[in-house]
Amino acid sequence: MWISYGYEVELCWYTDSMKIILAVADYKGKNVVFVSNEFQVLSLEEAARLVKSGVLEDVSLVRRGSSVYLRTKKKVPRERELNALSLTSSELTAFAQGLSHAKSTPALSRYLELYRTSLAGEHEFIKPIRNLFKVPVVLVREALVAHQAYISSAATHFKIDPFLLGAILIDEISATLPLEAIFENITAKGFGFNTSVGVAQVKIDTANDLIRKGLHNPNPKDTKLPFGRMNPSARLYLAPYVVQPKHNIFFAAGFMRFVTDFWRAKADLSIRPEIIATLYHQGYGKPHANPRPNERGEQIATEFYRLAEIWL
Amino acid sequence: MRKIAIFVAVVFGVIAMPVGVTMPLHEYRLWVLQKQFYASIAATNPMDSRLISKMAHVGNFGNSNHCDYVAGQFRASKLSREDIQKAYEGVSTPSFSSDPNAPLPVEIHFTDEDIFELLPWSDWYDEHLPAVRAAKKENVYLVFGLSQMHPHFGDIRCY
Repeated sequence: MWISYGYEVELCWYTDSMKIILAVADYKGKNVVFVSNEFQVLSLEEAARLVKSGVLEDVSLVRRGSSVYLRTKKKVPRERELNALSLTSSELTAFAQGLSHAKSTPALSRYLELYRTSLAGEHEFIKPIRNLFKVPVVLVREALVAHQAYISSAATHFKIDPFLLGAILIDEISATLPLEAIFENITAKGFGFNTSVGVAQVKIDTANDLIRKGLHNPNPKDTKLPFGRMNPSARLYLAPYVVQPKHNIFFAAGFMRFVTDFWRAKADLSIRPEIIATLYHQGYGKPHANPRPNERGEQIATEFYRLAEIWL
Repeated sequence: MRKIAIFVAVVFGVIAMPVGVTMPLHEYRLWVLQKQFYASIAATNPMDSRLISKMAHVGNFGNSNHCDYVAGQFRASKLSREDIQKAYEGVSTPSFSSDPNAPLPVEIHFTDEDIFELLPWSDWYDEHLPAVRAAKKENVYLVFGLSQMHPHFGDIRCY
């Protein structure tokens, strides 16, 4: 997964001043993913833009040839230096495998402690099914509401339920906090794998498939789209389109429309939101008369649907 | 020269680590599922059916982030669709030990069904296309066991 909450489009989501509380280095030791004190996950490019606009404190931008990186400013206390806040992608992987590793990684331990502390004042949480962490409602609401216009226009365009689309997004946003977004930023970029990207976590190959089906084309003037056969270079080419919140949400809505139509002869999914939510994760599935939801689909269609109704 | 070799080994090792350390777990689970599945259908496959090719995959077969496993066989038979379907009715297969979805229902999809025009089924179909095409005058089907929505443990194939 490669998350972008749409920095260029929704700048309002960021506050006037931010600090980095965690940095994740790639295999070369270069910090490429950053987490702010407001728990927003930033790519290097996003962080660089925030440094330029004076929003991100404690660091400055350094250019070396065509490469850009962040460096700690002088006089910044040692505990806020990037070195002290950084961990490697391997350490993050180790954490994903077993929680005990986190204790041996000071930067990650501190990050999780900050995350837990930040929750102390919160009274409302979301706990996605099979997720390790509960997520403050306020963070999820902010991320969702930032995309309200796209949700509304995508739902109208594809004649789908906007609240169900919103509920699916709530599920994806909740599932990517507080670690997934970081982890996936580091692993997904640059490898050309068929990974899930963006706020709606759409698979890149699925997006290409939806373009081929004529459901949504992020750039009709781009003659390379859609690709006939997907390979790493095709995915790397398509990913920057798919990750954009507008296209990402339109692809998600297009998927919902397609799956509803695909199942129509056997089951009316327009009255079964829990099945659409289940198929969103599991894939199209072979239509049959008596589909059953999984627990994640149930949670989306009930708990998250109610939240979407209130927030959108 | 030695320094270059060490550098390459270190870089390769660090790149491969996030993927590599988690792959054995998923591969092991898939291997167990495969073994269990083949044993389960050995006695169930219609006598008048023949194996075309075997398939097994781990990955994320929908959107979002999770690991799915599938083990199956493309088979061909001169029996009617109804007879083939009847042969597998109510059959299930055990899975790996911690699979909360187990026992998994044994399912079949005929290769001329619409599902094979959709991902990831279309990719699997394409992989086995030469073998499937060779069985022209028979009913060709994929019989499989599928287990979905498992933690990814950092394996990039499941993102």
